[in-house]
Parts: sequence; C-alpha cells; structure tokens
Amino acid sequence: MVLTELKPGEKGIITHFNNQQLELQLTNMGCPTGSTIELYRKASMGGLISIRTEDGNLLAIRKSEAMHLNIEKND
Amino acid sequence: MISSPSDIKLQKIALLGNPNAGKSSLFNTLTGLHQHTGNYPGVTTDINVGKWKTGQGETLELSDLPGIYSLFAKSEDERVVLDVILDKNNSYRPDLIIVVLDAINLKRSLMLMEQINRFDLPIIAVMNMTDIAESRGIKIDYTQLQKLTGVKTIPINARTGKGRKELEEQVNQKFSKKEKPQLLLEESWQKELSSRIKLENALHARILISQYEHLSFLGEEDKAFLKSLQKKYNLDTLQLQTEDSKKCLNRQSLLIKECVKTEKPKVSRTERTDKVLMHPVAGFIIFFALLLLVFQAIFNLASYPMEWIDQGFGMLTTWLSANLPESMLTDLFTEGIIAGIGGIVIFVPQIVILFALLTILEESGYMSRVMFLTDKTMSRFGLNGKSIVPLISGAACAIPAIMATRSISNWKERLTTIMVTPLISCSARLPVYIIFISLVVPSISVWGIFSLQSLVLTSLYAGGFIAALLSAIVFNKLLKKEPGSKSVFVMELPSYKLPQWRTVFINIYKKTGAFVFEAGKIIIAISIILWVLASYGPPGAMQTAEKEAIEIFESGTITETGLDEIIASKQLEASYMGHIGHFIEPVIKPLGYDWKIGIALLASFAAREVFVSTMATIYSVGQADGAEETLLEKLKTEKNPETGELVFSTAVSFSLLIFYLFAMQCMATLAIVQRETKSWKWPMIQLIYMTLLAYFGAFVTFQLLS
Repeated sequence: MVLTELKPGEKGIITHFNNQQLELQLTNMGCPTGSTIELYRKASMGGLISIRTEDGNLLAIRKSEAMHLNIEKND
Repeated sequence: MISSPSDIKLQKIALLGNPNAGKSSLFNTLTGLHQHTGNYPGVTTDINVGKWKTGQGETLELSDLPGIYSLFAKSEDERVVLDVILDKNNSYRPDLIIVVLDAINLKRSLMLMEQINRFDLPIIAVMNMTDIAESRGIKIDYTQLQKLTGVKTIPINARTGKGRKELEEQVNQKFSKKEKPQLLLEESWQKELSSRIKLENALHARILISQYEHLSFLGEEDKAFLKSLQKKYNLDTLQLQTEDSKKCLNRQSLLIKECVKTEKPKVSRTERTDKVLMHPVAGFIIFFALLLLVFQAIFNLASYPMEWIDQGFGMLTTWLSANLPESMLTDLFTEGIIAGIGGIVIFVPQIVILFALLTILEESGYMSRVMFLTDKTMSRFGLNGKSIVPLISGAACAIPAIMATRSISNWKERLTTIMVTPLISCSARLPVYIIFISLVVPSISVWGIFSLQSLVLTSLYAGGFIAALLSAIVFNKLLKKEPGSKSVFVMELPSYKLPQWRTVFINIYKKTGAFVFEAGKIIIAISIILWVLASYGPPGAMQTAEKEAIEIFESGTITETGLDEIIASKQLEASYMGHIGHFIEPVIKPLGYDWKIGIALLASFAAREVFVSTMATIYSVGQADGAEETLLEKLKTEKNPETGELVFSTAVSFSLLIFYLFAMQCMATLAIVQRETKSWKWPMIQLIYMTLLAYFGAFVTFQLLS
C-alpha cells in the first residue's frame, strides 16, 4: 500500500520509494527506506500530508508525492 | 570612525547545520546587531555575516551558512555550502566550521557532521536544543560522543547564550590542519576521476559526480569530463547519493546507541496543539482570525504613530522654510528631500508592526502550520504554501514582502510570488483609494450594517488579491522550470516554541532598516528629479506663469485661494512636468484623464502616495491643516473648461481607482525585484504587465461607466 492509504495515527514501514528524488530528500532528512513512519495529519481537499519520522520529526509532503511512497502497515 | 589597519585579518568562522537546528538563533546571540547581509556572488542567496566579539577580546568574522540536511544539495541555496567546503579559493571559505547539532534530531545532525568531517576544514560542534531534549528524556554522554566522532562537542543553549563561554574558549585555540586519512577509493570510476581532479575522499567523488552541473568552481572541461564519466559507467547519481546517505544514517544510529539514552517519550504539547491548529476547519478559522488581527494592527494601531510622523514632518518643513534663507536650494531641501524622507518614514510603523507579528508567528512554529493548510489552494495558482507570508506582507508594503520570498526554495514558485506580490494593495495605495472613494461613493449604509464606502474599499483589496492569484496562474504557465531543480516539496513542521525576543527584535531592525535604506535612496532620488521637473520650465515660462497668476489674483475671479497657491499651480503647469503632462494627455484620454491627472500619475511614479499631494498642488490647495478636505471640495467642483462637465465623474474616479489597484507605481519595488532576481528582466516584465493591466483595466472601467 502507499502512504496516502494510512489513517492519521497509523504507522508503517517504508518499503520502497517510486520517486528517487523524494527518496534522497527524505533520507537526508532522516527518513530512509526501512524506517517506521506515522501518518500525522492530512490537510483537507487532497492537500499536504504530514508524517512523523522515527526520530519524532514532523514532515509534510504533497499528496502527489506521497503516492510514490510504498509502505507496509504496522499492526 | 576609526579605520582598522588593513593587515589585521579576522579569523573566519562559519555556522553550519540542519534547518531549524537553531543556527540563526546562535548567530543572533553571538553577533547581536553587529551583522550585515553578505551578497553571495552568482546566486540569489544572501549570507548573514556578523562580528563575534569573544570574552577574550577577539573579534571574529562569523557567517551563517544556509541550513542544509546533507552535502548532497538539492537547491541553489544549499550548494553555497558546497562551494565553501569544496572550493579552496572561495572568498567565504572559513578557517573553522562550527557544526550546530540538534539534540532532538541527533541522527541527521550527526550525519551532516560526519560528511563535513571527512573534509580537511577544522570543525567543532555545539549541541543545541539540550533543554528540550532533557524534557523529552534524552540523555547524551558527551565524553563518549566526542570519542566516537572525534569532534569536540559543547552543549549550548542558543536562545539563552548558555555555553557561550566554553565555546569561545574552544574557538580561541589554534586549529591545526587535520591529519588526512589515506585516500580509499573502491570503485573504478572514482579512481578514474581522481586521475584528473584531486579527491579528498570517496564522498568528494560522489558529490562531484552528482552535483557537477551546478558547481560554480568547476571549469567547463572538468564538467565535460564528469559528464562523460557518468555516461561511461552508467551511474545512477540519485541512487548513489541515497545509498551513501543511508549508510551514513546507519552509522549514526549505531553511534547514538552508544552515547544516548532515551526514556519513553510522552505525548508532546505540539501534538495536542496541532489537533486544533492543523484542523481542516478550526485551523482555517484561527488563521483567518489571526490574519484579521494582523491587518487590524497594521491599519489601526499604526495610524497613531503615522499621524505623529506626518505632523512632525509637516512642522519640520514649515519651520525650515521659515528659518532658512529663501532660495531654490531651500525649496529643494524642504520640498524635495525632506518630503521624500517623510514619505518613507511614514510607513515605518506599519512595517515594524507587521514584522513583529510575522516573526512571532514564524518563530513560534505556527507559520509552517498555515503553509500546511494553504499549500493545496496556493499550488492551484502556481504558488506554494510559503507564498502566504509575502502575500500578507504585501498589504503593508511590497518591499519587505518580496524580501520574504527567500524562504521559497523552488525558484519558479518564488519568482511567481515575486511577480504577483505588488498587485496586493499596499498601504501607499490607501490615501489614493480614500480620496476617490469619498469623492464618488456616497456615505450610506447597505443592509443597515455595512458602509458602502468601506465595502468598495474592501472590494479593492479583494480585487488586488484575486488579480495576484490570477496573474500567478499565467506566470506559472509561462515560466520555465529552473534547470536542475527537480527537488520535491518537503517541509518541516518544527515543534512549537516561544519566540526568542532577540530574534524578533533583530528581524524588525533588519527588515525596517532594509526598507528605509533600500527604498529610501530610490524614493529620495526620484523625489529630487521630480522636484526639478516640477520647479523648472523652459526659459521664461516660470516668470510668465507667475505674472499670469498675479493677474488672476488681482482680477479677483478666484477668491478663496491665496496668491502663493495660484502661483504654484500656474508654475507647475508651465514647468517641464506640466509639459510632459500635456504631452501624455492623448495617451491617457481614453481613460478619462486630463493633463493635470497626467502630472499626478507621473509624479506618483516614485511612490503612489505622492499622487494626493501633487493633486493638491495642481489644484492650488494650500498645505494648511485639513488640506485633504479642501482638496476634496476642489475635486468635486472641478469642471472641464471645454465641455463644462465635472472632471472627477464617477467614471473617471473609478477609472483612477482601478488604475492604482493594478499599476506598478513604485520604483523602489522594481529595484528590490532587480536585487532579488539579480536581473533587470523581471522588474521590466513586471512594470510592463502591471502597467498594461492598469491601463486596460482603467480603460474598460471608464468606457463602461461613462
């Protein structure tokens, strides 16, 4: 599944980025493949999606790019 | 001022760290007001440079490099850091780098430090945000950390200045060049590269191969070589950078395990606050309420000091003209220069209030929540969540607003924001709006609650905002993407914190200073030119005008005006300015304007608010108290000598309102746009499109209403 399918509060492990530029930027911000992320909040009308990284940082990315982030949901 | 001997060279130190690590806070704490903006050659990035006076009596040159996450830079801003580290001949190259680590973001802070530490520049580290880390149960063993990283690390609090003494003692020690580890290059492309360019390490090779297109210090031949190398080995440079960063992150994870203990974190206050402030409904309501509060403050709170300034300058002018010998020079001084300075200083209260409030909102972490909420809407118009701050600031003055676009990392979205911001009605338009609204809009109320006049005023502001958004769509279609900028939009939402008052104060001081001096020199220069054009005419013309005025006065046909005012009016008509006014009359006739309005339009090219005072002169209204009311009366009764119709009909007044809504009547803004875009192309395009918009807008308005 992709990041956008998570509900706020749900966590998942990043399995694959379909966008290399996004992968590089998120990795540099401490959020690489294999790390756990939590969906923090979604903005209305398909706006930004914020996530909490493993280290507790809050990042926001655009929905169109969040679709390129494959995750495996944690239960 | 005592000039320092030129042989004393300051030790150069640079601050480097992740964005939001508190780098600028530390910079402000260390340098106070002894700072200026250094212009970085070739890019739009400005680097803050300041004097750091240490307790040991030394003065060091401290520069605040752009915040970056990694040496694998993604924007022009970030590449400045690469220039500083990789280019040995760079003028900003420091003698020492202070890495600002973020205790609550240790992993990625340490990743950046490891990257920098691989190069030969001496570094020391400061650990910031230690208080927050403590409250979150993060305990750092500094001895162990230093042993593992090999970098001297000092805990500090950038906001309070705690740890400053220890840092200064460290900095004062002499730093010797690092011992270079043996160069280990595993891959064959790296070996091939090292045969041409002297490499320091494998990271150096990876940076060069993936960033070479944008590195200013590489020659064309080197670039061509790197390109061919990339092709030959079929290197996926994005993959290569990601892999390197991933490995580096893993090393930091292991390192952190050995020197940091974390107790169970609690639900943070940030999370609870975000439930409200980032809520799709409540968040917007709070944002609009705050916006209203900001505007209330700009317009109402600032009106008192603005009035004092206005009166103060009025008194100064009166006093000066009474006490200085009567000459052209005195006139130039009082009517050209003092009036010009007054026209700038009057906006200072608004700018101070605006930047105080915006800095508080930004420093607290709130502004990034606003960007989170508005990004979607803004991106529909080719803008970005970060465009919201410039657009709000534009309601006070476009100059600081355009400077505020620097936070937008995407060049295309930044340029779009710069291009449309002057369409937001700034406070200089207000005097023009007010005079024509009171002229033609009856002061009645609509549905018993709204005053019709304020409704018209509100729709003018709304009109400016809508015009800005629509123009943004057009620019977004026309502008090309910046080559090499493939960066995706990733924004950090920092945790909430109380604004640091020092930062708020320094920010107000810098922004206001930039406005006063940047805008000031242009407005004064133009004021002088306009004064000359209005005070001189073809030989003999001014004397003839004076004689005519005396005749009119003595004939007694105009009774309510004094002789001086009639002379001023007649002389203005006879001056070069008057000639230009007549000259452009055919062009502005379709908008309903005569040559008198033409003069006022030209005069207000330096600054819009000059329109009102020029109209007052043309219509020979004395500068006494209540001049605006008398001007209003004059304008109301002014008739066209040929047709006998009222000059300021509803059609003409609305045509002027629309003209001022769209027109780029501000030289200072154009100069700032030139400075920010490093090109005259953009301000020229801006001038042309806004003038066309104003011209045709006014044309359509006039033709429809008349």
